[in-house]
Amino acid sequence: MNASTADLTFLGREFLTWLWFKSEERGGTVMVPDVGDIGIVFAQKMVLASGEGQYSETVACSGIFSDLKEGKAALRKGKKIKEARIKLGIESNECEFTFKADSFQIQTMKLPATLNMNEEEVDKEGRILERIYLTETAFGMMEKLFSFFLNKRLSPKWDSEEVPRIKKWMRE
Amino acid sequence: MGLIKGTVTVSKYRVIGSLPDNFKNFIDEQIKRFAFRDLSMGESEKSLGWTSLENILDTKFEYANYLIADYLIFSLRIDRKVVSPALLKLKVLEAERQLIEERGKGKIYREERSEIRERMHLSLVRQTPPVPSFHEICWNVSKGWLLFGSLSEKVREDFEDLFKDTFKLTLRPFVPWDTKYINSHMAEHILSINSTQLV
Repeated sequence: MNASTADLTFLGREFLTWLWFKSEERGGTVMVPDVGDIGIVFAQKMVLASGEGQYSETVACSGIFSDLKEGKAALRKGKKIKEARIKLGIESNECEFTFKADSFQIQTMKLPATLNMNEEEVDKEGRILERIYLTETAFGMMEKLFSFFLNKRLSPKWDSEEVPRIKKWMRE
Repeated sequence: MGLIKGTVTVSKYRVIGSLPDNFKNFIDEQIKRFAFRDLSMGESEKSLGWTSLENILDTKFEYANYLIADYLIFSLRIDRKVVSPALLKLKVLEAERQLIEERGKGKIYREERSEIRERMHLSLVRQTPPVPSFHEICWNVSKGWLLFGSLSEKVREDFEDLFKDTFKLTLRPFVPWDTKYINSHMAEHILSINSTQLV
């Protein structure tokens, strides 16, 4: 299979599934080498799937006070996370968005309110630039997390160390 | 997308290709050339073009108002006319009945039925008002990436085609596992792995 025809979307679902495990392992943060701690929490809503096309099976879990037990049950049945609502710490702020694993897209991201109303009126360009900065930073952090995942995924320790820990967490 | 207010929904792209040396003039000419034209759409079911982000009626882009710091920021406007299938079916049945009455015989040939359907469809398209939609664009020319404010495949296809026609550049959806943009050793390794079985 060559680079232009390979379907590697399974890496997106594995990444998001691993990220849920990783964020719970350290109580809502993931330590990325050369970057530091990234605050990340899976919140309220996720969609898990197995199979592709007409053979695809999907489960949606949601609930304000849910700890997503149904999500873990679906993982134990062989599903992986296709999309999830995520809270991501950016500097001293927090952004919340739905992350789509197959296409690495961000949907309905709530940005922190960092400018007050008067400033908004005076400086529209500044406000737009700030929103671009926050969006770009959110993408950048997800890319750093993916890069950290990919290095682990391609390491021999993936099968011998990381996968057994994910399986143990799935049973908890 | 939400660059001005509200929540942000975005697809990220890599921008493939290079702009001419005088790229600011080129972009200014091209964005105006492919700006949205508010003409009567007539029999056309879709019309699309670029508009200003802050003023959706502005298609003149005076003083290069799409340029903010390192970014080019503008909108894609798509007007679509959607003919109701139920209404089309009704109009076709009415036209067929009228034809039968005029001729005094019950048979309608397949070619006639096809012609009636086409005629009724065009007639309804002419009468249907277009529904506009706006999708924000944020393009970082120096870094070669772009954010587009829609996840819809149909809208993204229209956007990718118009962007190519306008700026002579190709858009490639951004995914971090795109092996074209990973060093060859790692890319080879990625292509050799299979999905992890967790159960």
